[in-house]
Amino acid sequence: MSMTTEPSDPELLDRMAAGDREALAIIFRRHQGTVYRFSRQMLGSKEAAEDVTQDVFVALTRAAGRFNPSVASLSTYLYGIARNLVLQRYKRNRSRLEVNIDAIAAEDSAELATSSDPADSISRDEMTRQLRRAILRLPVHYREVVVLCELNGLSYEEAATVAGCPIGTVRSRLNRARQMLIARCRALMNAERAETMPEAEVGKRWLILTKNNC
Amino acid sequence: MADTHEEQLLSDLLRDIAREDARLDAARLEALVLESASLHASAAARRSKAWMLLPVVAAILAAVALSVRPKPQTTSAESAAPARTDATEVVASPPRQTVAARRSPVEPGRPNRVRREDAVREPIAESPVANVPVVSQPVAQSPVTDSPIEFVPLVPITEQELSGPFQIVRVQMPNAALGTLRSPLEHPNELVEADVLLGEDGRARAIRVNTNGSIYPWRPR
Repeated sequence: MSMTTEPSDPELLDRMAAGDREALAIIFRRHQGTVYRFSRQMLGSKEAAEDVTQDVFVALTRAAGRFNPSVASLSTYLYGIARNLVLQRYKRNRSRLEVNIDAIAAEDSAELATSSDPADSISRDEMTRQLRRAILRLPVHYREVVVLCELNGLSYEEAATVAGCPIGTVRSRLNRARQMLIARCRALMNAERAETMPEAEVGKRWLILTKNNC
Repeated sequence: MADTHEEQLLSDLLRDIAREDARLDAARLEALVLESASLHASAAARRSKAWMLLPVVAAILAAVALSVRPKPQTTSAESAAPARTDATEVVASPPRQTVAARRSPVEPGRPNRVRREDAVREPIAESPVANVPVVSQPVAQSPVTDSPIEFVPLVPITEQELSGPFQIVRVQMPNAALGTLRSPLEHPNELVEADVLLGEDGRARAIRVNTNGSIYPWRPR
């Protein structure tokens, strides 16, 4: 039985620069999920995220020679390209929000239940949906650190490389973003409950859910 | 200020979202991406080939530019032939509006340059175009008199073109070729001398002839 080792990213990039189409295909399969997830979490739209993902890999074919493996990994480099494209898109479409929260919630909430209590599960679904909405409404520099560090598990150092800012800035932005998310979730939950729950319950629901989930 | 319970719940919910989103991928885009990359590569190759053709195009343009450039006048009697103008460019037009051009003696070895204020200022709007055969025989260089002889514009001249530089080329042409500038019925085959004002592109802009038969009174006709 022969052991075949997967080619490294720099090797694949070299081959890609020499016109090897298969190398690009391997790189795409290896990293498309990362790029697509980041784009979608930043933009909230499936179509926009697909556009950005495609543009990222086309940009990579153009600028493969600029990648320096001693500075960062290829995934960090791709995050950087995706971030730039997302910011460009964000500036261009600032007036209209490319967010389809309901579509995300409907598609992604199937396996969310973590409690055996159906009522608890529904509440948690709703909270997740509200949290997604709150993330998408964060200012873009706060949103990107939440997406990078909390949702994609990047270290502070990697996030700082992607965002082009010091690690301390990432830390402070993340802390501030978490405070904003809690405040917004509290407000959103209260506003939504006000339509369906008795007035006495309004404002208490978030607190009850918080206590029950801990 | 958020309490620790809320902080903990937020962390849990963020983990849930991360777990859900781990399923997301864009594998269906692979064919599109590969196609876009191929298109980009072929476009880049075409661009590089186009750059290689640039010197060839520049050489062709330079050759064309040199071929249409008028030759400057020279001093010696043999080579005093005026730069030939294209016969199709000399157009006889009725002298509706003319402006007197200041004259300056022709310096040997230098083309007679006309300054902006000397040039024709009023274009003739309706110029009947006629192909005029320019003559054939070169005329020896002779000093220009100070008598005010008017240039007649052959084509409309824009303000930008007035900045020159111009060249004056002396030619002989049949009387009949002058059209309405002179009466063609009167000695149609007689050769007259005329000064043609050439623009930088070698095209004739204006013409002047001696209305008394010759602009060179000391030369018997």
